[in-house]
Amino acid sequence: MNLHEEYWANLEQGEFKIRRCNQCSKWQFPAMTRCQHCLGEDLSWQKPSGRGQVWSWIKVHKPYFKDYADEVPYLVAMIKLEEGPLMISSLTDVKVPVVKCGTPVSMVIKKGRGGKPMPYFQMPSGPA
Amino acid sequence: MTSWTARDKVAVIGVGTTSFGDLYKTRDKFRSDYDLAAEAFKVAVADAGIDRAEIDGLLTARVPSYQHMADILGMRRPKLSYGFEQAGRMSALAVQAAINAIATGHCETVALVYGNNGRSVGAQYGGGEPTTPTGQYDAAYGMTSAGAYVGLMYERYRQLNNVPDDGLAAVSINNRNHAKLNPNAVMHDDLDASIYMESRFVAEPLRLYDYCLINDGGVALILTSVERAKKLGKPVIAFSGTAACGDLTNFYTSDDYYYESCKSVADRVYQQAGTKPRDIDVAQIYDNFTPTILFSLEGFGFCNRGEAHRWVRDGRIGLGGELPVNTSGGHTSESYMQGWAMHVEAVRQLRGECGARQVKDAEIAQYICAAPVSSSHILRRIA
Repeated sequence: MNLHEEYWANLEQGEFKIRRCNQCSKWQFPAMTRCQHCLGEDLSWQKPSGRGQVWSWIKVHKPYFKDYADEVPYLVAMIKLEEGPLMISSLTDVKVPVVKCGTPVSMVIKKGRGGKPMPYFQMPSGPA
Repeated sequence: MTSWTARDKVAVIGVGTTSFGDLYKTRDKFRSDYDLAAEAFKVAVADAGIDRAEIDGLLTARVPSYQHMADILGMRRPKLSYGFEQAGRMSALAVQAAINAIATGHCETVALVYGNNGRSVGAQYGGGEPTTPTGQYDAAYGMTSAGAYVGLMYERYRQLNNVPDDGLAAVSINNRNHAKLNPNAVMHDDLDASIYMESRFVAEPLRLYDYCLINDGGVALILTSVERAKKLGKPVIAFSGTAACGDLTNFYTSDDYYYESCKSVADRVYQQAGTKPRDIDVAQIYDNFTPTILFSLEGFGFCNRGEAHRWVRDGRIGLGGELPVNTSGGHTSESYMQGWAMHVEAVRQLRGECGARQVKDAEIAQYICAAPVSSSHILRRIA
């Protein structure tokens, strides 16, 4: 398996893991073979805290993907993980018309389109 | 700071564009990007008034093969020849490569040619097979297209700076107002605030009129030494400054809206040229999506951070305003030629060839692109 296959395989096992450098302790996302900070090659899959903030979000109205054509408009968020990296994801159970940038969120694994388990992020009060 | 030694040493002597408005009216799957580039090249050579054999360098962009392009143009043994990838950020970088090659004596006269048949072949910016592994991560959430990544930046910018809902309308309408004065622009219909606000969202908060117009077309530029340009008897449009800076991460989205990289470019380009933002007579600002105009104006010091959305209002960026921006209509109303046609517009403004959209007495023009590689040139009419 390559690193990307390993990322998805971990999620199949119910675990959201990203790569962390064993030498300088910095986290990275997406997975790469080397640490960008110290160029070290000794990295391992570790569980981040699962906490982060909504860096920003958009609603996609154009049906770019056939699979999503019946879901437009749908929400996509950029999350800043507590450990540093930014990642694209989406938010679950959004109850407000405008999500504030900076809102704290926590990770939940849910099935996405096509049934594969993926990390999503949940607003503070959780599902009401 | 490293010093750049090519100030006012290299000039643009020829510019060429195909039609943009007419090409937009029809799609033709046999329309070749190479042929569009060649058509623009022919126009540029005639504009320069030189013999084609005097061109000893060829840089190509977007067309897949520089070799095939050279063959089409009958340029068998150029001293400089290579191609740039199709990203729009490459237009200024290709021009920089030509400037450097001429200033250092690798060759004397370089043709830069760009051909794009994107509209006819149905070019998609979003929704295709992801080209990077992490593109697949994003696509799993339905995330795709550069516009959507710019949308993420604008939503945050909008919230943190309390920008009203119509925060991009002024720049989009400004582009359109200028396009209406440009016979070669694709869009000539009226665009006002209510039409803008009622238009559909693509990647909310971005609306249809915030997006560039994918089109077919070709653009060419011919550069040579200022020394040689002076012998041709036309206005001499020289590069007084040029600089670039990357902001290279996994995403098109930059978490400071390219501010630090733009500032780095601005510091160098203004120092090279000995100018300040207030000296600029006309600006061509890369706008694949309209928020990049706001990010550029802030990063290059025309206004304070977070204030560009107010600064662009009330005609300041229109003809007769303090800083006319995108006088040909920009990418949202002239045609999306990935920065190339904006270079041509800067030259035509400085030559005084722009008719109804001419900025009076324009002597100094700036090209700006805020992107994963930000770039800028300052061009001046020096003779």
